[in-house]
Amino acid sequence: MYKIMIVEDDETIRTELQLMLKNALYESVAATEFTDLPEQIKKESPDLVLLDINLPDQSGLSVCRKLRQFSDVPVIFVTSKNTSMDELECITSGGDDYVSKPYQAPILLARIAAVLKRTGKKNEQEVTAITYKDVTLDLLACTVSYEGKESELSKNEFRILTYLFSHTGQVVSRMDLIEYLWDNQVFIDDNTLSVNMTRLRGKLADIGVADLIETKRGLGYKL
Amino acid sequence: MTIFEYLKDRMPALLVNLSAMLAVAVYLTAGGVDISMTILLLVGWAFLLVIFFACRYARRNRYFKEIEAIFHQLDKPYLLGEVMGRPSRSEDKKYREIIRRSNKSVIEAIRRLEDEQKEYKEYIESWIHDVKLPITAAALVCQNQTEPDAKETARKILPELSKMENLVESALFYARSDSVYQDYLIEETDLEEVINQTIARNKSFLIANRMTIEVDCSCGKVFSDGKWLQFILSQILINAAKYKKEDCGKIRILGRDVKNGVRLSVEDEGIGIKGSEISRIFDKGFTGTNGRSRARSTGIGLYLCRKLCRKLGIEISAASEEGRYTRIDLTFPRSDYYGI
Repeated sequence: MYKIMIVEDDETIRTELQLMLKNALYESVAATEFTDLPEQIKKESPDLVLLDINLPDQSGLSVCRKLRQFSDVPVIFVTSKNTSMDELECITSGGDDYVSKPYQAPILLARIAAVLKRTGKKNEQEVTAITYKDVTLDLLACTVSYEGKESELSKNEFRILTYLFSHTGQVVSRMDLIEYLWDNQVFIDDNTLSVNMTRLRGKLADIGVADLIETKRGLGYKL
Repeated sequence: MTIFEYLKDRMPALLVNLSAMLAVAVYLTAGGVDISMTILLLVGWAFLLVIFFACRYARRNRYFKEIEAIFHQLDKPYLLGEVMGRPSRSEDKKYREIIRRSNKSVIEAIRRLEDEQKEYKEYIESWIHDVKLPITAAALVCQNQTEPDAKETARKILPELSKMENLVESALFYARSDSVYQDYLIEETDLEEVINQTIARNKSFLIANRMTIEVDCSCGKVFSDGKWLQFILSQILINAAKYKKEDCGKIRILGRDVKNGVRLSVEDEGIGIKGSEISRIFDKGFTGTNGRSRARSTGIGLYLCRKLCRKLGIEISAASEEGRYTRIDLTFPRSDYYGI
């Protein structure tokens, strides 16, 4: 599990960030005192630092510059300033990325994942296929197979099935599903989701899988 | 200055000369001088007078023409007093001094206003950065909800926060859209990435409005500023969601290479814009029939879009058919030697 250190002086944002990271399965620590920050970061030795630029009595930029003297831990700057000059300063001060407030949680999480990946701190093997009840979803080829029969999926159908496969045994609400799809560049509404769902069920029936996706009326879907 | 205007000002001198001529003529005739001699004297006198006034007129005329020329060359004409050069006539010196003093007070007034405006702008900028903090905090709280009931409430709050964020951004870009403000960085930008980020930013608002978006962006990269583009695209997407036909809507985003550039079209299947109004939608404060009857419009969004587009060198245009569709086209220029 990656350890992420939050340096942010706004208390609400700090606690919510911690909660968000916890939900995304990261371990998080937050600085509450803003003195000797480079030392604190050194002591905690996190895998990544989320650093606010406007800190009491000092600038996140100078903290990063000091930190760079002895550590190359990835740093993502988080700030409400968003001029091109600020962006440039962040990079020249040794930051790895820059996210401006107000940010969307999925965007921030994606940036964190990207920076961790880029800086080579990768510890889990990438999953290439998921199997559930003998139905295999190939994540690279975008196909679904059952007892030797295979069916190709469209981008939308593949994304829907990926989400359901990663939430097996749970009831997935339509809204959750739509939000996941939007986070993965499939921008559809409720009606289109129903159409895609019908088509997906048809494809599953073609390869002999019937009733894999249960509909919970008023709640959503369950695998 | 015409010759008549000049002579009109010189009327007293002319009259004095004429009456002197008359007096001399009467005096000489009374003294028994031959009439032809008197006429010769008067003609000589008049001749000298004409030459004198002609020379003076030419000089004055040249003087004013020079000032006129300087005035037209200046980009800040109120600085004329400083650059008009030293006149030789003491009367002109006096006038120059008065012009300089008057201009100085104008310059001071302008400086004061500029300072005030700058201070105000700085305050607005810092206020916008401050107000983003609570918006961020509120959005994070909403996004962290996991209980189904709480999630449902959060889904009602998030689109409102998204609207608020956009309004705040509008204020920021409005303050920055001034010609003096140069806060953009033109670099090679991937349009598809910009589109995806824009949609992600407005996700909750668009989902709440039950929109479907198709993105087909098989075009090359463009040279532009990603942040400004995101703002421009946000306005277009939000408009599409605001002016949809029924309770759900569809947007098609198409990026294509065209001659000397890239064209990005954002087309919705909304209520469209009246033919008589389409030429004015980018005007400041223009709300139109749709803006008044459907959503409360401020007439600022598209105005800002055009203003920012002009600064980035993007051509923006709109096409629509009432009741059918609205399409906004953004054309990014690309230099000819790009492909070489």
